[in-house]
Amino acid sequence: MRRLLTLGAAVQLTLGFLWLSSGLAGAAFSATNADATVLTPFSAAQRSHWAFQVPKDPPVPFVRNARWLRTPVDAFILSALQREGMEPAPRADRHTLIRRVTFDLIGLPPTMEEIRDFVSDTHADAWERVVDRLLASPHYGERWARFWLDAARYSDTKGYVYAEREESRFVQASLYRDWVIQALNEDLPYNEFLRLQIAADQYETPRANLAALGFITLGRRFLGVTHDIIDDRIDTVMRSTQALTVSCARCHDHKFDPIPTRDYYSLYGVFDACYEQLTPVKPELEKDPKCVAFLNGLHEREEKLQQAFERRRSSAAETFRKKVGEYLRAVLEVEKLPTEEFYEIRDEEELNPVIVRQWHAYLERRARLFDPIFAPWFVLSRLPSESYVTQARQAWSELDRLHGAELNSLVRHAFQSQTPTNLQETVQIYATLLKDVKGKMGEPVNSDAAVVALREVLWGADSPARVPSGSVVELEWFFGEGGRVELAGLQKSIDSYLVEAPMPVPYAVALRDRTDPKPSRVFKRGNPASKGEEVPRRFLEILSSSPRLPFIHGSGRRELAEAITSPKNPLTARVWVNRVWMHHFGAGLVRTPSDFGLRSEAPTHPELLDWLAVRFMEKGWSTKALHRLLLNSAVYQQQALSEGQGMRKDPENRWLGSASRRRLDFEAFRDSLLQVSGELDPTMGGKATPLFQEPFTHRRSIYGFIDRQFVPGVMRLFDFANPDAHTPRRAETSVPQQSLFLMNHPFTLDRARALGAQMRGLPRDQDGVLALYQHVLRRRPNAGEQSQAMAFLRQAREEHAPLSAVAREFVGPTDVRRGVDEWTQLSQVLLLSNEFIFVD
Amino acid sequence: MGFGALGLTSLLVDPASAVASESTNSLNPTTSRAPHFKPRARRIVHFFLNGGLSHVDSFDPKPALERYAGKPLPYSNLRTERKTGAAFPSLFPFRARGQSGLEISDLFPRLAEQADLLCVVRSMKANLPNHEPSLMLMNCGDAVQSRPSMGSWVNYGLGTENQNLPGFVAMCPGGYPIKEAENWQSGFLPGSFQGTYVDTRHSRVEQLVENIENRATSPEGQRRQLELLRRMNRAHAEQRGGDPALEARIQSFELAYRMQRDASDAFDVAREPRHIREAYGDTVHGRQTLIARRLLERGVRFVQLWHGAGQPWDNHENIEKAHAQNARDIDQPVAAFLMDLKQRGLLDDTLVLFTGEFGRTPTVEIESSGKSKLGRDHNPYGFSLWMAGGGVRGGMAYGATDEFGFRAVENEVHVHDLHATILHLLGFDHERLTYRHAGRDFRLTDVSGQVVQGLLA
Repeated sequence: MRRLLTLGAAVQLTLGFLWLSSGLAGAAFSATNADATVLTPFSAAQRSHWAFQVPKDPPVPFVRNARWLRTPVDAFILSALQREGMEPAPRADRHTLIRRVTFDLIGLPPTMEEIRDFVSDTHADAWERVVDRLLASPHYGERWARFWLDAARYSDTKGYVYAEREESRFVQASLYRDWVIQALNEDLPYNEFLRLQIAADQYETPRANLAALGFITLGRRFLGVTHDIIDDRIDTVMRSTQALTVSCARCHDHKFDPIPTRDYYSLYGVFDACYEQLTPVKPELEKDPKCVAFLNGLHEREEKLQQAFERRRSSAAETFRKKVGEYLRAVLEVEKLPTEEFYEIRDEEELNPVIVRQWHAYLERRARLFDPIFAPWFVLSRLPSESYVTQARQAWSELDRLHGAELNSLVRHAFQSQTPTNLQETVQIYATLLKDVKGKMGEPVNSDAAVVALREVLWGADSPARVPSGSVVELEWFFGEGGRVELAGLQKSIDSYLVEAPMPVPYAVALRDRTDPKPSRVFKRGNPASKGEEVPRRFLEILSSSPRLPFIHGSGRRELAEAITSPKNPLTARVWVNRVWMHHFGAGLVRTPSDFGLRSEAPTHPELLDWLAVRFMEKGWSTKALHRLLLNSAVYQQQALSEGQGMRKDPENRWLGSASRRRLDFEAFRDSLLQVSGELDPTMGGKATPLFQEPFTHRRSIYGFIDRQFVPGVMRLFDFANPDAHTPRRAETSVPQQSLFLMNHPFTLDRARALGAQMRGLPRDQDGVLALYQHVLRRRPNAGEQSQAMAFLRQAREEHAPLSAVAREFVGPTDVRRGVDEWTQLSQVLLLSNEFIFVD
Repeated sequence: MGFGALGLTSLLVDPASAVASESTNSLNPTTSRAPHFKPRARRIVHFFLNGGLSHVDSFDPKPALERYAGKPLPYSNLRTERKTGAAFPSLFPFRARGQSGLEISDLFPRLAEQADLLCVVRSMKANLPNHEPSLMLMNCGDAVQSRPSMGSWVNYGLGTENQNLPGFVAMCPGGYPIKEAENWQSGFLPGSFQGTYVDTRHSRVEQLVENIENRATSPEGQRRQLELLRRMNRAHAEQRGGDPALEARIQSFELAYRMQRDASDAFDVAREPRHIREAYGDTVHGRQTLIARRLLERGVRFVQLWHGAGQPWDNHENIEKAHAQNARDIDQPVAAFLMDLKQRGLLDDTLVLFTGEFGRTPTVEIESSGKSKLGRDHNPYGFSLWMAGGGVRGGMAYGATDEFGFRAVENEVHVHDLHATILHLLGFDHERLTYRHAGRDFRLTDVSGQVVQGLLA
């Protein structure tokens, strides 16, 4: 909207705020305001939604048949069952129970000895001691960390990168994984567990805890597109800890939940105000003679990068200054820049859109108040070309008359000596003014305030012609192709050096707060090129008490962590209690564990959820105490019934009148195969190894190398979590390709071979069958099973019998020649059985 | 019981009996939905010209480029990844083909003979001039975020027609294309909807399909194992009063056993008569295309045929020679494939899609010195693709780019519109085929897309 400029208007326009409201500013300039205290008109349903109310401590219900009760948890369950006219299932036998709880807590089967001990233990606290033993096992952390890694969209790699320029493996991934395992094993209070993962750098805490920040940094890198990296971080933090789908508010207010777009960009501002920094977490290694050579190599590489970076930065700034006229002109057409950045192969001399935007933002800031340098620019750059000469003359003389004294004297002088006759001349005047001021650099700096002010534009610390400080990764777009390739290559050489380090020298990628965080602005419809109102960094409105205060310390990450872990936060404890419940009972009390919003199903047992959340916080946010509370209950110790056994009334087992039969997930299954074949390597921690490369690693699955770009097909088939986004809960599908893997993949065959080899040497078939059942299914075979198995062995041998040892060598690829004899085959059958993979 | 059990029974259910119910969606992510309306196509094959086919050299004649040859266009070139200079006329003469008179260049002489089957869209649009986001947009409907691929959505919607074969197969000879397995990812859909990758550089079935054969146990030995397994599992299930989850896993071993035979058969082109093999040609692409037909006729829903590892069609320099070589690779197989499908009556309900991630500039790519590279840069502003078969009109061209072929200007078809149209042909309203994830009902077309009525037969 351009209107003819009247004399009065021209002058008004030079006053920045009026200029902004005049309509000449162009859409992209138009929004600033931000009244931080404005309240969103949430609906009554939104305000009163159960999940946003602080959990109350409900009384434990009174129930009939109290003999069944073992813990208060049971009273809540039984009362609901009775209301539904149902009864709990009988207690499961001890063999079933120890198998269930062992898989649940450590993801491995119990040994024969552990089973025997428990079955024959007559002490009243036999069960409690089993639970305690398992919680104390280091395998506990390995099992439960994996659940958290699903939530944290853990991967050892960044996803797609330009391979020649960037190391695709994260330096910090395995360190984070090990931190989670250790934190769980040590029962780090859950609030502390979260605080460190969001803001470890902001607390007085051992340096090793910086590893926890992997929670934020291990997302996909989206080829460096900041908006998507931050979106991934918001989504991960908010769904994991708050069960809120805040990312839905990226483009418009959340459709159902009380999450306005403003709140999304408040959080955006928090993460945008941080940068990443490679940090050694064991500084004492610096002095370790064994590490000296390694560290020298590292420092050498770092220095090379730093030098190149400085060289590139200053030469880039040189070019940007030289082209100040072109940039000023380009700002006038900033809306013509592509709305989404794309990878443009550009040499250093070409106009850089990032710098155009930087100029645009800079001028926008200066336009807010009367600007002694750019006031004429704001007027003269927007005049229609048809009547430029007359309008420019009028506008200038009016401006000079009213504000001449306030103008920078050099600027004033330039326009007094030459009134531009077209836009190009105006550009030229500014370019000359800004560039030539350098010529006076030799003079004493304070010689003239006008000189100093003018020089600041191109040489000042916040000059738009400068590459800001920061890491190479986030600044690559400031450079042309040559600079980008050189710097990225040098950064890659550092990362690869660390990833491939022969000795473990742990480096975390820590987050640090920027010293000068930029105010956050809403992106209209999620489009970063279309900036809307400014919003302060602060927590979600619906979860804040009024008045809501902005975060004031640095990025605000610590304040965010505090808001999340506050005992007044209605979600944090409930969400975690619900996740732990889900992993023990097959489904949560809220069946959408990462969405507690208005569209989620209400909890089946709301009072129980609250009771647990309150107890959990009372007991110091101890996850292990929570496990005990759940596992010692009668409801956990029920039998798993089938439909035919009375589950018809409640096929989804919402009221928990039965235990839920479950199939082992990928990790528990693979680990169990190795455990029963006697091959499991219990080494904890350290570098990740690919799971399906021969020779196969025998370590637990959690130490498998997860490349989010190439998740092995086997793992996807077995419903492994998609490492690209927070996974609340894994799918549980059954497809024939899973069976094909079990039947034919060398990994399964190797386990069967290892088992077979142990049975082959036993004197009698029946000894072998007994031993095999005990190894794999952890029980003795019954008579029918015994004879079935022996018949199988016999038949298998008959098939081979006619072949002499010599003949066998010549008959194609026979079973025997490949080392798959009758014992291996029988072992494989047991490994494939439903009894092995299902837990009652 | 519960979630898992429902999921697995439904995967094994006969597709004809599958019921669409939005209410079961949240409970049961793997149920196939019955179409929203009568489908025109039941399966899709996508020839992926990865790197980007030049439309002004193939399906979009631009005589105006001849007049400007070597001279700058009368407007400034659009922003693309690299710098381009003067107008660069087609290197391959265009001719009117078939009864329809559809103009196709000599780049694809055999395919051109099938012009009357082709529904050419000349006004395609994508968003960005880089491969990565454009591959993602074309395959998954979102340039950046990790989303399920079209093949996964189609399988999620239609379910399987053949339990013994994967429902979505992606073939690429020699390795992965750019963006690798992301191109056929299942994203937040269950992993079993992900495309099964096959490296068709190999020719033996056990190299083509993972775990398809047991190299240590004889078929008889394996049969005996599965017999014992079945008896054990039966007894186990009976003790537990029957449970659909246990039952489904018992079944899946039977299916797997049959799959070994059926998949071997499907991938074994030696079983084709000689005249068919000769028609497709005894080359990697001939074999790959013939495998595609064998898979489709056995009920595989979605087959994607990539040209090769990396991006063979990305011809920034000397495009004449490079495009001609690429076209020679697939011209005969694709033409033979169309004829073969037609003869078998399969073309009526098979949708054939032929496109890369974007087109190429009508201007010549230049070095920073200004020297011509005799190639073309990426062009997402306007490009061509064609479809054939199930429900589209043959022998026509839809939409247009500007005088020089830089930008789509008439009846623009965005990739989202293409996806909406494809789903429509399969019987789905693209706005209603959704999956609840992270609090939102996601769909292939995100928040855009309109069915292009002008393409429908």
